[in-house]
Amino acid sequence: MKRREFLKISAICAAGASLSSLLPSASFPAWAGAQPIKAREASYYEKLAMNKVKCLLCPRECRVGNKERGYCGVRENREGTYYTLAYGNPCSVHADPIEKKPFFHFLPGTKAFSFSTAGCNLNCRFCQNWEISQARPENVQSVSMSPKEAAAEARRSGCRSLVGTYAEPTVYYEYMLDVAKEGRKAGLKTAIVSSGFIKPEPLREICRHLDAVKIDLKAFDEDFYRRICVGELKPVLESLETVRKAGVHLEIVNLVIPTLNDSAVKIKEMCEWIKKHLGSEVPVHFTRFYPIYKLNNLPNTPVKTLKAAQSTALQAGISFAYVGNVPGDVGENTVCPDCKKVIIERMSYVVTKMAIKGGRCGFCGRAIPGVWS
Amino acid sequence: MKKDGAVDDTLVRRMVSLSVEKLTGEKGEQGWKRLFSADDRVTIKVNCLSGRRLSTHPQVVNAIVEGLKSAGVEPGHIIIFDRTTEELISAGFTIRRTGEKEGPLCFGTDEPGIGYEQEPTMAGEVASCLSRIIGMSTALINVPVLKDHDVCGISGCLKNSLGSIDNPNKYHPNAGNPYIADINTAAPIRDRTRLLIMDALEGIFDGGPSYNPGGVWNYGSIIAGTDPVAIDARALDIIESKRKKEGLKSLKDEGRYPQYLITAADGDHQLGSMDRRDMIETDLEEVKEQ
Repeated sequence: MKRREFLKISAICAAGASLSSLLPSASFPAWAGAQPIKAREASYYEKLAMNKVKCLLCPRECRVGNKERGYCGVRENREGTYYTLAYGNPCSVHADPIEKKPFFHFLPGTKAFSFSTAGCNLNCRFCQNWEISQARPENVQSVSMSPKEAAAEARRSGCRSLVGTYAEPTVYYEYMLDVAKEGRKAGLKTAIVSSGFIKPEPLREICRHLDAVKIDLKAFDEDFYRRICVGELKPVLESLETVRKAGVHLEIVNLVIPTLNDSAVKIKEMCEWIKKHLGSEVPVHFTRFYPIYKLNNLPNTPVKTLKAAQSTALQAGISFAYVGNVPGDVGENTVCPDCKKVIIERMSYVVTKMAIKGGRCGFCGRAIPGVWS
Repeated sequence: MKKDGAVDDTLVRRMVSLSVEKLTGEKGEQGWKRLFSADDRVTIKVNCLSGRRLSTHPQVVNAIVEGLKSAGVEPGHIIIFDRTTEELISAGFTIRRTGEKEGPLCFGTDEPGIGYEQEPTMAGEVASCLSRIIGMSTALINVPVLKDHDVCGISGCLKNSLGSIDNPNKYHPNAGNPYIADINTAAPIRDRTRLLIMDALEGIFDGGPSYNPGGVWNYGSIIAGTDPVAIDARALDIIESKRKKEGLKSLKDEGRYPQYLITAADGDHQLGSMDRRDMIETDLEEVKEQ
C-alpha cells in the first residue's frame, strides 16, 4: 500500500480527523507500506504458573493464558512471555492542530504530529475512534514507523510536538515511551491524550518523558464508568493526581453526554474535586457529544448545558474552563482570570489572537499555566 | 482413538454419523437431509487455538463434510474457518482458497479480501464486527473442543463464537458473563447455527484453553445437538467429574464457574437449556461394537 492510500484510509479510521495528509509531495519514506505485525516483549507484567501472565500496565490487571490477549487486544501471551503487538505500527497518523486534541495551553496555534496504533483498554459506548480503538492491530491498515522515524517525520512536517492520541496511548505504552524519548532528542515536545486508565507506576515513568497530558475524565460517577466505559473512575482520579504531582502540564476533558453524565450536581462535585485535589490552574474542557458508535440514540449536547458546566467550573474556582466541539463559540477563548481580558482567541481549531508573553497575560502579567514555547 | 493417540478416521466417521442419526432419528444421508439441503451454503467454525495437540480434529470435520455432501451440499459451498489461516494449518487442516469438486474451502478470517464486517453488530453491551465468512453462509456448524478455560470456566460451543468476531478480548471480564451469552444472540450467529458437534475425543480438564500436557486426556466422545447450552452444560459435567477424579478443586471452588451458561439459558437470551437431555453423546465404544 502506498503511503498516500494509507493516509486516506487512516483519515476514515480516525473519525473526526479531517485534516489533509501530512505529506504534501509524492515522496514515500522507506517506512511506508503495510507491514506484518511484529511482537516485542511488553513491560509491566508478571509471569505466573502454567505459562500465564498478569498484566500490570492498567488497573484491569488481566490474567492472560497462553496464546490469549488482554482486554486491550494488543498484548499477547506467547508461552509465558507477554508481548505487545502495538509497537512501531501506527494505523492513524496526522498533522493536527494542537487545539483539536484539545490542548489549549500547550503550544497553541501549532501542529501536532498525532498518531495511534489499534487497541484500547476501555470500551466506551461513545468512542469517536471505535474503528481503531476496538480493533486488533492485525485488523487495521498500519505502517511501520520507528520512534526515530516518527520524530523525523514530525520535524519534516513542521510539527512542534508528538502526540499519542485517537485510540489509547496506554495500550501502546512502550512505543509511546520511546517516541517521547526520541522526540526530546529531536527538540520536540511530547504529549498524550489518554483516558488515564493506567496504573500509577507506568504513568509515573512515562511522565518523566512527557511535556503534557490530557486526560478524559468521562464522568464523576463510578456507575457511568462501569456501565458506559467498562472501566472504573477511581484509578482515573489517581492518574490525574499522579500527573499533577509529576509536574507535567495537565488538561482535562469532560465529554458531556445528554442524560448520562450531564447532571449539574455531578458536574459540580467533579469541579470541586478538581479544585481540591489538582488546584485551580488545570484547564477543564466541557465538550459537546455527537451521536456515534453505540450511542446513536442520544441527541447532541445542547450548548446551554455546556455553558452551564463552564459556569459551574468557574464558580467552583477553576480558573480556565472551556466549551468545546462548538466551533466559533466564545467559550473556546482563554480569558485571564485576573483582568478578564481575552488572551487567546480561537475560531474552531485556529488561533486568531494571542496575547501571552513569556507565559504571562499580555495585559496584566498574571502567570498563565501551560507550555508556551 | 488408537493406542498411540492418533484418531481413527473410520471410527470418527461412524461416531459423527451415529450422532446425527440419534439427533434426527434418521439413518445416513436421510439424517443429514433433515438438517441441510442442496441449497445451503455451510460454514464450519472449528477451534484451532491450540495447534495440532488440542484443536478440532480434521477427521471430525471430514466426517461432517461427508455428511453435508450426502445431503446434496456442494463441496464448494462449504467453508471450514477459524480466526486465522495459520491456526488452521497448525491444527492440520488443508487450506483451500478456491472451490474444488472434491474438497471444501478452508481458510481463516484473516485471509486477504475476507476480514470482518465494517459495521459492528450490537450484542448486549459489547459491539463486534463479525467475520465476513459467516455472512457467506445460510447455515453454520459449530465444532468446538471440550476445554477447561482458566478465566471463563469452560470453553465449548458458546465460547467458540468468540473466534468469529474481531474483538474476543472484550468478552472476558467477569468470567465472560454475560458477554459470551450476549454474542451468541447476535442474529447472524444465532439464526444460522443449525448444528453443534463438540469434538470431545480429547479434552483438557485443567490449564486450558491452551494445550497443557498435564491437563489433557482422551475422553473419546462426540457431543452433538442443536442446543449450545445443553452441550456446554454436559461439557461442564464432564470436566468437573474429571477434575474431581484428579483431586482438583471444582470450577465453582476456584471461582470460575461458567455462570454465562445460566445467563445463556435465561429469558433474555433464550439460547437453550441447561437440561442435559437436550443433547446426545456418542461414545467411542458404541461404534467400536459396530
